[in-house]
Parts: sequence; C-alpha cells; structure tokens
Amino acid sequence: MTVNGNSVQNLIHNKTPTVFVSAGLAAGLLLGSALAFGQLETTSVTHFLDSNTDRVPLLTTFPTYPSIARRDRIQGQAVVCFMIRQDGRISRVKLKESTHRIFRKPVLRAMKRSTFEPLAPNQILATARTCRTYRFRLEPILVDNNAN
Amino acid sequence: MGSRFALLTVLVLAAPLCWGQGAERIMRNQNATTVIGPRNVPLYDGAKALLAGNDAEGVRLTHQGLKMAQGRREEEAALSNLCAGYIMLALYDNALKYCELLIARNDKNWRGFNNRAVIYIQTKQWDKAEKDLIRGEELHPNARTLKIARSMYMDAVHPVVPEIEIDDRQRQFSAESDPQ
Repeated sequence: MTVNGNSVQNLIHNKTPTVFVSAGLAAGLLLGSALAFGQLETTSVTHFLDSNTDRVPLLTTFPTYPSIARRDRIQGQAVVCFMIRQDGRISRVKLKESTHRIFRKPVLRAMKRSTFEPLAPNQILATARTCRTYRFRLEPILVDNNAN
Repeated sequence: MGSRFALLTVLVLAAPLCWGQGAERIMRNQNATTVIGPRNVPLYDGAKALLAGNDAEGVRLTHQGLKMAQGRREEEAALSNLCAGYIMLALYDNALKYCELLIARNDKNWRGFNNRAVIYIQTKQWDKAEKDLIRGEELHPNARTLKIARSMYMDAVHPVVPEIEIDDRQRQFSAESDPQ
C-alpha cells in the first residue's frame, strides 16, 4: 500500500484479505494458517508528518500488519533511521529499535520503498538523516457474543 | 471455499500418512528392497481424502479405518480424524462424539482438545472452548494449530482491528544519536 502524502495526517483504510496458505504434511499432519476464516480485514493507517523538517515525504509505503503478530495479538513499535538522498530516495536504512523482531521485515521493506521530494541541484541538504517510528496496535472492537 | 479451507487449517488430522512414510524409511534404512505402504490403508486414504476436501469420502474411509485399527495410536488417529471430518461437514454433534471418545481414551491428546475447542467455537460455547484451549496449550504449548484455534476464539470473543501509525515527528532520534 502506498500513498502520496503532503498533509499533516493521512488516514487510510485498507481492505486486505488476510488468508495465506501454509500447509504441510509434517508430523501429525498439522496444518496451519495465520488467520482462520479468511475474513476481510480493515487496517487503519495514520501518518504524522514532521512539519519542522526540510524534507517532505513524496511516497510513503505503509507496512502490513504481520499476520502472525495479528494472530498472536502482538503489538509494538519499530524505529527506523535512514538517510534521505538529494534525489529523494532512501539509503542506509537501519532498524534502530524494535519491541518485537516480527516488525523488523515489514518496516524495513516499507521504508526502503518510500521516497521524499527531491532537492533542487543548488539546495543544501540540511537534515539528511532522520528516523521514522512505526507503531503497530490492535484496537478492540465491540462485539455481541450473547447470541448463542 | 475460503472459510472451508480456513476451517481445515485449524483442525488437526492425526498421523496415518506419516506412519506409512516412517515405515518406508525404516525399510530403506535396513537396505531392504521392499517398500511397504501404510498399515491401515483406509485410514491413510481417509486422511488424504479429508485433506483434499472430500469430507464425506474421508469420513467414510476413516470409519473403515477405525474398524480395522490395530493398537492405540491407530484408534486415536481415526477418532481424531473423524472428529475433524465431521467438523468439516458441519455435523458438530457427531464431531463432538468422536472428540470426546478420543479424550476419554487419552486425556493427554492435545489434538482432541484442539478439535473440540473448534467445535465449541463454531457452536459459540465460548467458556468450553476456552477451557479446551487452555488444556491443549498445557499439553502442547507451541502447537501452531492451537495458536490458530486460540486466535479464532479471540477474534470471536475479543475482536480487534489492526492500526498502524507512522510517526515522523521523532526528534530524539536525531542524526547525532543514531549509531552509524
């Protein structure tokens, strides 16, 4: 999922099917998948931009909520630091911290696919290196389970 | 189709296929030229049919397999697969009968608890489902199918919606503090 974003906050609702196929004839014929019942799931994504920075995001790629994390109710955050090149592309992406390693891959992948607006040739690079925080949350929703 | 497949993924079918393969391996290790197949052919074929989605045929063959089962393991495998098969057929009363037979025979069989928990989830008996999940998790804490069944339960009882926040307002992680 990608979005062009210059606003202070973007709220995107993304419908993604969460079924994935992972079956194996292993010992005891255990079969598994991340989310049972293959329901369509809505992921809400919010992007807070830093209005103080000289560099403005051009294309922000959002990570997907890892299905295993979703299944096992894992929440947390990951901070990625990176260099913004003059042409707006990202380089030297580094995971600075992560509350759980399950978030590592999706945030690095998302970061590497994101870009910033390029600078003009005569512009000076002010804050070329910066960091971005990704927070993964699972918000409870109300449900009526009394209908037995 | 999607939900049917997903249901199959949380059910645990017991091991006749593996036994057949295991026997093959043993014979090869002994430098024998004969490769033997599964000991209980209907049980083996029943498991294959269930995995292939032929639920009714799978159940029929597994019943045959149960009749000619030799030993505790084969019987338990047949009972477990019958329970799973009837769940896939949405015949929960029958499924419950075989799951309970399995648990009565061996109360340390986590597959029985897993499958019975799925029955209770499908029939919205949340308290019973929770008890079976806890018991199954005690017996096999890292079983992936149990985690999936747990997630089905959680999604039904305590559903959540994922949210991702991207925050660029990080001043504490400046270029100076960032290790290169």
